[in-house]
Amino acid sequence: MSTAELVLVIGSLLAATLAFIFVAFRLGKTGRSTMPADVAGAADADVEHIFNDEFREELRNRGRLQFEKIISENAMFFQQDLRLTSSQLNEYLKTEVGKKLEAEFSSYEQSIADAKDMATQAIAQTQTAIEQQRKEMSDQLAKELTEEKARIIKRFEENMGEIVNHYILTAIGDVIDLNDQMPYVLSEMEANKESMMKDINNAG
Amino acid sequence: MPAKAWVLPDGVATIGDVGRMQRELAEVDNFLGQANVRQPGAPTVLPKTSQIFTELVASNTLNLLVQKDRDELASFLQALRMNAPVVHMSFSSEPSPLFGQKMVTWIRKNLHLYGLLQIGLVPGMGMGAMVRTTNKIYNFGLKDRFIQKKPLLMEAIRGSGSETSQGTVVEEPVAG
Repeated sequence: MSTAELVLVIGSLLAATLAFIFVAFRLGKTGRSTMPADVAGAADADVEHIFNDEFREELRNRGRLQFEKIISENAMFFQQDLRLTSSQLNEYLKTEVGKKLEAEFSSYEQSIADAKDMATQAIAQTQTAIEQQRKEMSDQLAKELTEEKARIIKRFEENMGEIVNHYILTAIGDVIDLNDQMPYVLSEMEANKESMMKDINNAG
Repeated sequence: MPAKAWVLPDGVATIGDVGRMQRELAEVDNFLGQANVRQPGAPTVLPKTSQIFTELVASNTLNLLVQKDRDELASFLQALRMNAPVVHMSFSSEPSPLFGQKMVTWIRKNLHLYGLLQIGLVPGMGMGAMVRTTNKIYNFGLKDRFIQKKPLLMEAIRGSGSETSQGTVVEEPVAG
């Protein structure tokens, strides 16, 4: 039995009691007001005879017992209803909390998975960037090595004459004197004879 | 230059030699001039002349006792000094007199009959010579020749490098 029903039962019981009391009061008052004194006195004596203390006590006891019974029944109904409500509430709470926890755990798991994916992607991107940089640096280094090699070779070639001349002069400079160089000098002058003659004659 | 075909010995190679010939001629001229006014019996000092001067006089069949010949020789030497073309040759070290004489011989045979030679020193030049005429300079140094012929050297080096890279066996001479 629900609380509303319990309230209804108690309310109806109280209403019945009040009605009973009211009727009793009205009957008592009406008898005293309209009947003559001896009839009224006889009626009172009959009422007193019928509704004596024992009867009234019996009624009271019966009313009390009925009231206690009703109260007990309603209390029992209320207790059952309360227990049922408590158990239903517990079940509801368990269900709702379980759902909530499951949803939160799912969300957390999804967040973890997303973070893992993002980390994996970031690592992959970083690896790609590193690889690309490594390749660029490798290409740059190879290019610079090639350029440096070319520069060294060019510098060597540019200085080759100086190096060979210096080597020859150092190696045989004190062996070959001017007299040995004369055929070379004369051959060079012979090769430029026309130019020299022209210059001398034009100046003269 | 003078109209007469003067013979210039190779010994008169440089401007300095020409100047020395002029001084010697002036000494002879001075001596002979003093001899005309010398008192008989007074001591005389004969001027000393070099072999080159003697060769110069002999090769041109001159008689130094004749004033006219002395004057002509003086004019020739002065004209030589003022107008003769000078070829400047620079070497890394001092050449021998024989070297200079051979150069003069070549110059007078190939460039100009009365060409003179001026020797200079360029210590860092290395082998070869630097020749300068009136308006031009000719570098006959070995260093410059090496620079001009460098492509040949590079070609030889690259050619030998490509051969060895292809696995050509380079045989080394066996000692002994």
